[in-house]
Amino acid sequence: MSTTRDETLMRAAFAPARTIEPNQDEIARVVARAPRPAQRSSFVASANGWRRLAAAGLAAVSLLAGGAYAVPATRAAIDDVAGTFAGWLRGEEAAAPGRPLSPNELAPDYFHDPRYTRDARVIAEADGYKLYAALQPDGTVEFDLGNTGVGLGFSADAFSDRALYVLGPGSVQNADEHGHVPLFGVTARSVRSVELTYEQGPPLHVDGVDGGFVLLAEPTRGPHEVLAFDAQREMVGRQLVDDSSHYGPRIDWETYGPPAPRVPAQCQPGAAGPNPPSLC
Amino acid sequence: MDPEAERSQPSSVAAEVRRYRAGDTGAAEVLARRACTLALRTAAAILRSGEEASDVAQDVAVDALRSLAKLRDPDAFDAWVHRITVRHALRAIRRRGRARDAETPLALLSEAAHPAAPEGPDRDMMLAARDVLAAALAELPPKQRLALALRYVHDLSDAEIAAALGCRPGSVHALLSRGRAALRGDAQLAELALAISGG
Repeated sequence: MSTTRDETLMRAAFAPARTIEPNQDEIARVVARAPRPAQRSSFVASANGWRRLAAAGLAAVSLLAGGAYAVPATRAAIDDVAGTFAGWLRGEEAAAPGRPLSPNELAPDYFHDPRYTRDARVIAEADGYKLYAALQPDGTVEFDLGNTGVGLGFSADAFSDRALYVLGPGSVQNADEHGHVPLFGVTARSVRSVELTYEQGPPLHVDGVDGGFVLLAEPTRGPHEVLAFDAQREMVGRQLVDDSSHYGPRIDWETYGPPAPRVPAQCQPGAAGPNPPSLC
Repeated sequence: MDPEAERSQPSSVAAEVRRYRAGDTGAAEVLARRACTLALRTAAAILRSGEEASDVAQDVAVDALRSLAKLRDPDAFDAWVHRITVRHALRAIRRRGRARDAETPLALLSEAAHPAAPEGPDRDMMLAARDVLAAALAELPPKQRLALALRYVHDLSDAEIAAALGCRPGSVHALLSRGRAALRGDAQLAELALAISGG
């Protein structure tokens, strides 16, 4: 079959698909399921605009006065992920999420180096996977995903107006011996539980969330979305966790191979450093 | 929306995106129709079941509208819809792989709904070719199927297909070549192609 014939046949064969149109019922169902566009009255838009301007102004003043970013005082009252870290960033240890590192707890090397970080904490953990966080000299928060060598630095503003922020799965290459890949994220204080939905099978529901989570995702079931719930079981946030996400990480779950022995935490790139232990 | 119109309206689509973001409910239906149409054409070309293709198209359109605030460039609406379609179509293929049930081949389904040619030997030949192609396509890996559909249904370039599939343009070229070569190897299809092209 020549190239021309290939093309002729292909175009002829696909021709019906080129003119298919959805019917009105299908369009109506889409419109009914989709969220309505944001309806903004001029008064509300104006008020929000001023509030944002005021917050931005406060942030700018703080930057000029303090030489480092500080969360605006109004921010702490807003229940979003930024609020979870606001008190800690202001130096209030009692307001910090999670728990401090224990003396001999394994953490990434740079979490023990005061030139880079201070006040390292564990925000959440599951089955040995830990979400670490520490303050950086520039007033931002640094997260390390499971001691895998993946560090992410954020100013608190990156989390404003969101009850949930999925950080990602770190740098693990394979599902672990249980077929799990850790999925790390942070939440607003009001979030009490999170749920990971799948293309196939039941969701993974985790209670007792306090500022962050580690979900043991099963790549073979097609992780789809993380939902966040408050104490009244009302959904307060959601984020896609597949390769279509336009906010946060795009994750191609098909790249994780079959279950394989887990790389010990002390052998992960972020922990091993230039002189890895002999067991690595 | 004919295929030519599909490629000639990006600025008006971007305008609808801006209207939607500004709170104009009328834009919702326009964007829903466009997303649904693009997705339905791709899905119908590779999924073979009309019901399944319709479900995928609706899910794609809902996803597209739901997260429209995150689309940075309103001119990229179509490209974005193609990318969402790829994700949903791959998921549907995986689901079908797990539970195969009776399927209506695309060729028969779409021909029944959209008779393209008058009755006669040419139409019979074309129908036969489409039927055979639908079966042959089902044997190709999902990404090859999608690459072929995006090229021959939407006339996308290698770069545009790469953006939809999330791979490099070079990989698209390879996907298309392998897909065409596999179909070329189908003896029945080759015979029909020869007849259609008058060879």
